[in-house]
Amino acid sequence: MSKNTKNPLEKGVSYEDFLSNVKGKETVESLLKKLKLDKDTFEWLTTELNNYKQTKTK
Amino acid sequence: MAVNYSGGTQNQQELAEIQKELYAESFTIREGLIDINQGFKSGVDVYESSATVTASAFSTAGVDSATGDINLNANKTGVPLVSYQFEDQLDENSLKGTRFERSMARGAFNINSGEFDREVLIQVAPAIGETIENWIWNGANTATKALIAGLTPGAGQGSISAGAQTLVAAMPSTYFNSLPTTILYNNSNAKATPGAGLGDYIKVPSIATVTADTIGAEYAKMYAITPSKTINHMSEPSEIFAPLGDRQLIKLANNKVSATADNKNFLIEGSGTSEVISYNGHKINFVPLVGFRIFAIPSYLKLLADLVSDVSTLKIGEVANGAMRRYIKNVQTMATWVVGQKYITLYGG
Repeated sequence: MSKNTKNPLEKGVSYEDFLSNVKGKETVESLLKKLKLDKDTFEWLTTELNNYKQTKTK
Repeated sequence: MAVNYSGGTQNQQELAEIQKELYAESFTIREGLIDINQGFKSGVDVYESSATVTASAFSTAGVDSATGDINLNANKTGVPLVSYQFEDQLDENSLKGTRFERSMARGAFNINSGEFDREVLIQVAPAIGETIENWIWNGANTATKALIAGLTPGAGQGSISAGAQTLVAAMPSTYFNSLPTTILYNNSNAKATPGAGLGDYIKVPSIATVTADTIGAEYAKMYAITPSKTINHMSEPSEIFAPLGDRQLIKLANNKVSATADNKNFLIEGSGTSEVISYNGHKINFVPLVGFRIFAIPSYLKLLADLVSDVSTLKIGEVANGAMRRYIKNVQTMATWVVGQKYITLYGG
């Protein structure tokens, strides 16, 4: 079964997989908003993805 | 009559007590907060085992291994211990001209101060104790730091969080891995995927910054995701291991004065050395964790050592060849380990 890389909460979906969907008009925020997450999960994923991007650019 | 004096003045009294630094107590070893095992020189084999059973329809026929379904599993993981030391030379010649000179014995050879030994040198052992207490809960060797940095982060269970990678990167480089580091990365053959890699711990998703306002909600997230088996393990109740600062946040949260602050999420019993703080019936142990919190059956967290009392054993003696210095040395051998990993909840992992 293929992974839904647009849902970072799905087991086996890495942040790299999820961020590969950020292109064109799609942003991290727009992708996360589509998942209708609760506030804590939305903020946690935003922080996680920022941490990931910062670590990756080091 | 005039009094004529020259040569400067000096204080004629001194405060007898020499204020000593405050050292964090080594609760983990002293109180046995986790499973402490000793007698290992360089490495130890850790065994884990399990059995799974499946029922089948009743039959009067002989037991058939082809249809029977009882599986017995055992595995072994070798855990290497690491030796390290604290050492230096003491030259007390610089203490001449100070209050410590008074306790030096007569004779030019004698420059060791008894008072200095009693008041200052005595602090080496608690300083080492504080260091080891910190290392048990916060630290990683350079190799493990690199391995954890190389893991692929994700939000789901079975992936390390980017936040955990950031916390490990910020840990001090130590000679043995702390418990959070071992939970995150180990080579246990008892894992679902045996061998070196991410641990089988349970991650707490959707976490937020822990403050006095959020600590109740954050502990609730950790409690909610922990397996019921762990929560209901009454023969050895699971406990929470939390950063030292959580003690303050918990009390601030419990004692908040506001119209809406009517929930006391934490139970605080006793005070001082007899104080016990618990959450939903699970004791909280305050240790030098940084960012992480662990909810586990205590004996699943292990400290392995050659001799635990090595932490406070100092050898002091004269340096060879007539040198008027003394050496001071402490040597230890340790490692941390975890078993039953799938039942360990790592907040921040």
